[in-house]
Amino acid sequence: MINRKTLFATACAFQTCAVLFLAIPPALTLSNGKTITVMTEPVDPQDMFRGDYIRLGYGFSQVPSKEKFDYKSKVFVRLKQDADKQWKPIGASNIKPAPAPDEVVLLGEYEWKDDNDRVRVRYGIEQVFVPEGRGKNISSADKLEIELAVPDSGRAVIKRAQLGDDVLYQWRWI
Amino acid sequence: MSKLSAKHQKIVAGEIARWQQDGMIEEDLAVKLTSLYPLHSARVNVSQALSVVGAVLVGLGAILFMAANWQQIPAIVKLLVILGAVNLTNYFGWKLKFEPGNQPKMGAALLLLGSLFYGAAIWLVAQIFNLEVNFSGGILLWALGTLATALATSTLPLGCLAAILGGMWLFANYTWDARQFLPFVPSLIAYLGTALALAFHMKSRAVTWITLVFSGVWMLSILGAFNAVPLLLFGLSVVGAYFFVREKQPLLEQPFLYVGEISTLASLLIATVSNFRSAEYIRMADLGTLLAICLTILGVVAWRVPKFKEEMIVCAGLALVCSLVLGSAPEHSRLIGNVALLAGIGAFIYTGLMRIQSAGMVNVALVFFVIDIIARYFDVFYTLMNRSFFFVVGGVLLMVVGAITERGRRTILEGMHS
Repeated sequence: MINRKTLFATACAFQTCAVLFLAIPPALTLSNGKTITVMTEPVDPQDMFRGDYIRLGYGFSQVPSKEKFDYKSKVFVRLKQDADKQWKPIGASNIKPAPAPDEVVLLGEYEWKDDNDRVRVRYGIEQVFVPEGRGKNISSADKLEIELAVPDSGRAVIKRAQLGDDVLYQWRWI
Repeated sequence: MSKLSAKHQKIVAGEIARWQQDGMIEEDLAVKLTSLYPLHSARVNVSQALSVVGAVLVGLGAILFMAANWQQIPAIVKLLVILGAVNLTNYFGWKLKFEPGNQPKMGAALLLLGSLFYGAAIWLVAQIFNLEVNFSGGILLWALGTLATALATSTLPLGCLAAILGGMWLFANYTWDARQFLPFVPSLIAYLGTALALAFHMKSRAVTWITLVFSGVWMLSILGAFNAVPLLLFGLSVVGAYFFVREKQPLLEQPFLYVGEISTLASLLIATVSNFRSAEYIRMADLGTLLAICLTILGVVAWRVPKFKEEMIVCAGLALVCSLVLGSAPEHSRLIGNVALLAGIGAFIYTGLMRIQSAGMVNVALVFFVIDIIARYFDVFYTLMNRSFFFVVGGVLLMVVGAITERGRRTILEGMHS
């Protein structure tokens, strides 16, 4: 029979491990992932627990694809830089493709498909949290420059968010 | 003799009554034993309430501090500070609550604060790494961590917080995707199973109330997208569970009775006042699965507590008829809804009065009877009469029905007590 003290120590250890379990994977991505820079269009809502954030929309959130996807299934999206240095989607698939050297693969979640065979994908990078009050000064007409860290798995993490010269978010451990 | 809390006194009194009923002890001994543990008067424990409110305020402050997103503080410092706060608060909470000569109430408040800090830590990580806004996984982790400490310490505020967080996860996890609720039923079953196991482990009526109310409201929200049958099946399942709990753990019977009966009668009442959505809005596979779960629960209760077999058969019959007719033939829904509601009210009054002597069951049924009469009055006369006349007659009718029902209720309850 496990005594109460051991049970409680296990519960406390669970709490600490749960927080680290959330923190370590994105921290590793930010340290080791390939960095790409993309443009977005923001709006500015607020979250009860985490404060102000800016909702982000990406050009590659809608990807042309003839493949069939299940609701909420994994979608791998290949991005390639065009002549204007913008990362554009060139395809979406159920299985992870091998990217060319000038491509990156992002992992997202399928939401829906429109009549023109364009797949709506959610990557989990559609929001950036900013210091209290900062989000209100940004209108939906502003375009943010977002630096993403992309690991081999494709699950991207935001590294930096910038509006002109104004850095709204910058990842740093220390 | 040692002092017992009101809750423990009720447990002891129930056990003594059961020993007497089983012939293990004589009536004289039962009376003597019961008198050793007199019932405490209900009183608000001010110091505990203040400690808990204080802990909640500090916890909220910590969450808001994190939400302010101070970018001058490096991420690693923020993380170490909040993890340190979680573990130190838990440590001192444990010491104060369980080590001899300390203050258990303050300890319980600190343990609650520890779990609030733990929640703040989760949201801090989500903020640092810009994790998804609809972060149901975060609420689930928070609920599981709190559940673990609640199980280890059997502390009521932690149990309540775990049940509340589990209920919040239930809502956050549901994507409001019309026509598909079956994928979310396992979440409901997992929540109900875990939170009720915690409530039984802690013998806590508060945790039972929170769990059943969250589940009922969740089913009600599904009702908006589909129709009232899911809520009806939920209500009948909880009514079935009530008869089981009444025998096995009477301390926790009340939440099962009220949530089950109110859900059942409310769903039938809704069926009578508005047409069900058309059958295309409910998939037969979804309905069939919910019906199978409901019938399984009722069957298990009939098997384990055979003396309530008749009640379980009636519940199963109601579940079958309403699912088949209301789920697939919406054109008859109002007629069937009216008949089923009156049958349900009659069955609850009969059972409460003749079978289990439950004043609560009779009272709820009578309240629904009055509401039903008012609803029918609105249905029939609202468009037929002059508005002023309609309200005057309606008001008089309400007063008369209320008076008659109250007199009938008193007569019924007096007869029951005598």
